[in-house]
Amino acid sequence: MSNMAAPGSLRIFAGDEMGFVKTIFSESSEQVALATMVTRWGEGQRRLSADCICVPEASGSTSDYSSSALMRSLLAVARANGSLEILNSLTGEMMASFSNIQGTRDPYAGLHMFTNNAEKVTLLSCTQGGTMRISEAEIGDSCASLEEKTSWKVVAPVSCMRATSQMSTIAVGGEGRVLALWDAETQKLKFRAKVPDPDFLGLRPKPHVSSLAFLNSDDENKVLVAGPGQVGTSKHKVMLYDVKAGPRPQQQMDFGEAMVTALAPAPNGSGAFVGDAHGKLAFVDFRTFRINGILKGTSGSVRSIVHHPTLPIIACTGLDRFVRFHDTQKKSLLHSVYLKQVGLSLAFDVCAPPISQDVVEDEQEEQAAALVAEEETRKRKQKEERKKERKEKKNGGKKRRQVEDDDE
Amino acid sequence: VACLQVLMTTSDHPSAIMFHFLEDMLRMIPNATYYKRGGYELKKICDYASGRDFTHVVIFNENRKLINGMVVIYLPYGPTAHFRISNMVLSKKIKNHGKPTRHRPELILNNFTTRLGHRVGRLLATMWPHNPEFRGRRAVTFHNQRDFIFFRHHRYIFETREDGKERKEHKGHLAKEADEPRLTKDAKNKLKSKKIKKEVKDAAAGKVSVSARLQELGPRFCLRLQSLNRGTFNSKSGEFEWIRNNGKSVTRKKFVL
Repeated sequence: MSNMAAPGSLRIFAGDEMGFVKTIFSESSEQVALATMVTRWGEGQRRLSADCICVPEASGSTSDYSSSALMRSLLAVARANGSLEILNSLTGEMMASFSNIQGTRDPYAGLHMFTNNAEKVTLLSCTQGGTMRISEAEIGDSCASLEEKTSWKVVAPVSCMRATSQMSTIAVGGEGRVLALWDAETQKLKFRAKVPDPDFLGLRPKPHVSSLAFLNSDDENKVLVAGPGQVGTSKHKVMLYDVKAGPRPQQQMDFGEAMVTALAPAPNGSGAFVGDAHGKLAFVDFRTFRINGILKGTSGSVRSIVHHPTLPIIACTGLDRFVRFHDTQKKSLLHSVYLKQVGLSLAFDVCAPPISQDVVEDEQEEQAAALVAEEETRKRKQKEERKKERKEKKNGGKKRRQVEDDDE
Repeated sequence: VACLQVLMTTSDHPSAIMFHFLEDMLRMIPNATYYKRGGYELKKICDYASGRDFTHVVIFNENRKLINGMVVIYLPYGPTAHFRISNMVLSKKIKNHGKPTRHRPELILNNFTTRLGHRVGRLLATMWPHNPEFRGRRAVTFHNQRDFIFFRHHRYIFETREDGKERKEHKGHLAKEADEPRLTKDAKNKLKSKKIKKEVKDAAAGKVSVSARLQELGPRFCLRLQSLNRGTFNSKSGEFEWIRNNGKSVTRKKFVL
């Protein structure tokens, strides 16, 4: 366990419908095929199902590792009974919690965690009933309580919520609702998309946002949204909205024959990974805005796709009870880990600081130098051995002649 | 189970063959009620059924006088399994068939090994009460082989045969002989237990061979799982746990149940 936060390791948290939070760990991020489930926290009750999981947001390009190690290793969990928990991602210990005293069942649609301050943690959560809540907690030694700082009502029902890295804009969408962007500070609606136009038959599909994602967590203008396609069918579209350009989608494509359930834009902005309720997982290229590769392996509805912040790996989980790792460049399946429960949410861990490039180069040089030195010693030894053999042969021959001479 | 109630219905405008099949199915599943479809939407049927405390909704589909599909929905939130029915033979077409009694049958689920298999097997098993009446000697079998689930409905009877002697039929474990003396209840029970012990001993010693004869009741068909949906029937916006050949070519080598 002590090397869990070792640099260069791969760690992902999976929250499932029985309330477990599992850690899948591989010591080396190059060897994803060795990843296994190492810990499992939780009681195993359906009412505590971990609907949303998240790690602290890394703010943009500058990875802020000046914050303490404890603040980096936090994990927030939103449960189906309305409670929010912040766990220590290395030990599973509960660092802060919020329990919903109300009786009505209002599960969470989205969760974000920000650690801008040295000791304080801010949680942004949105329930399916439309309650957007910002809570704060001071992380210390004992279990703190998450106190609600502000809350406001957003139009219900909400099925998905995402926020930008500085919590400046919150995107919200649900069944019967179009995409809406809210401002977190003023708690006002910033942008609302237009209801789709009637199609060639004169039919207008019921607006529905089944999944959404900001293209880049720093850019609050570009949002990728999945919505309904042709009326009367289960076809879904993936649409790209640009807030500055207008309330209609700038680009759209037909995805498949089922509801799109998960979106994960690639960090380099080349495209996005899209998963649907039939288990189809594909990469949509933004240049052509078409499917540019299908990732094989998933057999059930995809509930969550996450892209590793730095490596070309994505992880997905869903109703087939596997967590699968795919290579984003080759679109190949790297590894699949079987979890006995249906996975609902995933989060890659960014606890371990990445090794700085200089250190990497130094290490590589050292390794290279060591290899070269080894080679040289081996060659030298071989040379010496050959010399010896030659000498022995010569000597042996001479000796014989001498003996013969003597004899004669 | 006290509240086990199965609602059976069909596709719209069923033909005569569907009614014959339903006759068989209603006799086979205890606590089953038939409602005619009447053009209602399946989603609404599920809502109505949950409201009336049904536990299952089973819909049989018919196309051109052939029964080819079955949808089993476990209420209220449960999974929905869609099967394809093939090789269906009505009970009256089976040679030497029997008429099923009202005893609760035993369930036999064979070969459901994978996770998906367990899920489907248990879903099918929930349609029957879980306290079988062994006296009725009635067995319902779901046998999975290479993703084909064979459904059979039998009545069995045990037979013992001692070496050299004629076969003796045993209904349960009690052998009735023609010249059995009149006994009191206590004496009968004592005799019964003695006989059972003797039979068991004989069977163990190899003196007596026990075999089971079967009489087929009820319909016979073969099921193939098409898809397993997570919630109640929702083919459009529902989430699927598994779909056969999801846009891909047919795979005959990989078995899922």
